[in-house]
Amino acid sequence: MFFITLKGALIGFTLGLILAVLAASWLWLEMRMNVGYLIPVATFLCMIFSAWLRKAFPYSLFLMGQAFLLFVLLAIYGFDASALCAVPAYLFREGLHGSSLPLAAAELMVGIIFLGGNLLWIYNKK
Amino acid sequence: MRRKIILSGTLIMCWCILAFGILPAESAPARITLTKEKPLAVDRKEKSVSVLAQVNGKYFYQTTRHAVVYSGGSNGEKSVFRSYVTDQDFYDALMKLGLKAGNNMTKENAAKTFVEGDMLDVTVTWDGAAKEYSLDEVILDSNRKPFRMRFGGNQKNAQQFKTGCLLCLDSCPVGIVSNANYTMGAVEMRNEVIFKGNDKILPPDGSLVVIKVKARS
Repeated sequence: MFFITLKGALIGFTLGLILAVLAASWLWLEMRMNVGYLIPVATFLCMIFSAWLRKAFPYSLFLMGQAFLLFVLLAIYGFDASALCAVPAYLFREGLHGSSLPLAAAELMVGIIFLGGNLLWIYNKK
Repeated sequence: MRRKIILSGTLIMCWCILAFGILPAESAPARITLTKEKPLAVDRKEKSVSVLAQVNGKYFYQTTRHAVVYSGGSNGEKSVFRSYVTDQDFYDALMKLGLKAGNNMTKENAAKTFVEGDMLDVTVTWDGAAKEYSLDEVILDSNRKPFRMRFGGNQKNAQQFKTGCLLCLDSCPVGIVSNANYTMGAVEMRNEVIFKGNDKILPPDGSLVVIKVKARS
């Protein structure tokens, strides 16, 4: 059950990040609300949903989510390596409401979450 | 032989002059004196107000209409610089200098009115900075218009809306100081301009900077 909800949380995190990147590109909205909150909200909802389903989301969904996130980032910010790392990190930081968290630390945390997520699906096939 | 010595001496001298001429003038790296406990300084002689703030690296990539906002205000995370000084203290400091506020902006006329009030020059520096950079150097205007910052005032609106805005990048009915180049909505509604922090000059996210607002003489 633990791994089922954890996988649900990872899918929700990816979905939340995609929604936050899209919302942040709408300047009017970005100036009026903390779009980073979409990340914990989506994470929580997907976690609850997967626990209710009692079934783990497939790895293909997580891979598709990551690919779509990369596509959205490239479409909005272009081939700018620093933007590709910084944008998910500052949205994640905003979602945590942690302005004191250095951007570099937030980048590392996002990287660890995605790396850990991939390893989880590879080594835990249930 | 004597000729050779004179010629070589002259040549060495020329090279020295050239080398020192080409090298940039050595300037001592800046050192900021404001602290989080004492984040505001008023210099009556120079007619300036200095404010301690922190760089928000988000706006190296994202566009915004806010230059400096008090971190505790509702727009505290929406600006290139998060200030440790409240909008009220900043307003009081500018009034202490005897500056005249425009107070010509309202929510109703904002889209068609340019901010008035005394003209101000804004510079930014930080520990280790080569100099005091102008606002034009650290915040990029996609139209490359030099900033025309004016003391808008707007104290009542600032108290009512609690946004924490100190410096806005378009004419604003809430910000204490704003840019007279654009009317409100130029950034968010009409896409007339894009403002971003300049990551090629500014220090990294989280660095402390001192923003000096000085009356234009």
